[in-house]
Amino acid sequence: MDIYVLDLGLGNPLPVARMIERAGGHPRLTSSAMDINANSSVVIPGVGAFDAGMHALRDRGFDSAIAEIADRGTGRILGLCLGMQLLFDESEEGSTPGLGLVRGIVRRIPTGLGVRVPHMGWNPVHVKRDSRLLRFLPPEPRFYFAHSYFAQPVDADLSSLSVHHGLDFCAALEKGNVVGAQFHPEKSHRFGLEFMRGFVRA
Amino acid sequence: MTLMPRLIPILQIRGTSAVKTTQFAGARYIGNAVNSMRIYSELEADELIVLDLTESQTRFSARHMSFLESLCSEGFMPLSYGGRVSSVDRAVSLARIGFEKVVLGTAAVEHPRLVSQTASVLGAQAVVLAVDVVADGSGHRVVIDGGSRQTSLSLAERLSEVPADEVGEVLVTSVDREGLKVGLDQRAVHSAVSLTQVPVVVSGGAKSLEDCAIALRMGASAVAIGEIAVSLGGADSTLVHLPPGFDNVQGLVPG
Repeated sequence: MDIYVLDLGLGNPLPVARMIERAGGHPRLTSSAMDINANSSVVIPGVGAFDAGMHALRDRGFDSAIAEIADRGTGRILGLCLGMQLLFDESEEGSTPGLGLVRGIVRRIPTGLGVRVPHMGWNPVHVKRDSRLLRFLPPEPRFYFAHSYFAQPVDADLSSLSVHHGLDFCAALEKGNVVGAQFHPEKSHRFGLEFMRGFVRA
Repeated sequence: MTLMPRLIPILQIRGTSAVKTTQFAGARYIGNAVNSMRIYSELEADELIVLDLTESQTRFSARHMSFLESLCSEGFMPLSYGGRVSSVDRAVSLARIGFEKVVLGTAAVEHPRLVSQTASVLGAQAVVLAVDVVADGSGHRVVIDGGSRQTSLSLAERLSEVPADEVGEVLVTSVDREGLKVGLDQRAVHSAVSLTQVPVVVSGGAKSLEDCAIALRMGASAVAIGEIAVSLGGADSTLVHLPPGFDNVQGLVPG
């Protein structure tokens, strides 16, 4: 099954595509919404700032295509790092509204908690609930994080992985056919590989 | 469970070769760069910094960029690139071929707005501010151009110049110790940790895992290692590796 990795002109979608391939999936890069429909599965990679990311999605028509998939399609959506934050209503980082697929606001990691920002490096995650997505994860999973803002879903039950950096926040969420990961599975060795395998083999 | 300290091998390259310098000079041949990247990735290195010493004529060629792209494709951990990056366009090109972070050093000193301009396009977490220093009396002096030129800036002055929300982390390298395995400069570590709010990566002279652990206990977020990731002690003994016990650095540094 094809998994479309959106090329937003920011950063590089190739590492994501390579990890999908290693996980047994068939990645295809696309920079145009004409390549996908409501039954397509897409990955929103994430580099850069919130507003730039939303504009990039909008300019390529991906925002409505993604909304359609979430609304009534059989395809699935995976947002990575900034891509997960874009799923939300809005972010303190920018002024543009997000995709609004998950209720919540993206906030900056507060100062004064005894940790340095950005949250940069490998951090073990806590499995909050089992799910098909997580079934291949090795014991004591950890992933690479690189972000200054975090997205907390209003509905805490959506969070399947959490992480601690000054405070606990959502590391991965699942809502129907919408999945988000705050970390970079494409850069997290075997842990990222098994996370992607969970998405590929839904 | 909290953020883990990092050990970051530095892969110095010249053309398609992996090399190793001493005080940023005299690059000696280590092996094939792609092979080195593959080994570090298979060993599950936390991340990796590519320092490009390729001569300037070749460094910007399409062929070298193509080589860098193939180098990136072998690394399943975050990759940073440093090597005379002096424009936002160059930084974006490097991000496009697969580097998660771009290291800005000399150019950031010479063009004070380069850091903020790059951060506004790639995001602050993609920008590493490199500050190369040499011990100078009771403090440290900032050097540029691969350590060949001294500036009038102290480490403290340089670190105070950069707003915390424009860089992902700071990489402080003791050029006078680089490649010599004499131990990291603990005074430089202490200064860097206390003078900036962003994560601090220290480098230059690391001689052992315990030496790295000392810096990490002092508050460094990571140690970038060179010599101890390519040599096994004897002058003829070159092997790209990670120091035994590297995957349990966490155990050496109380959480």
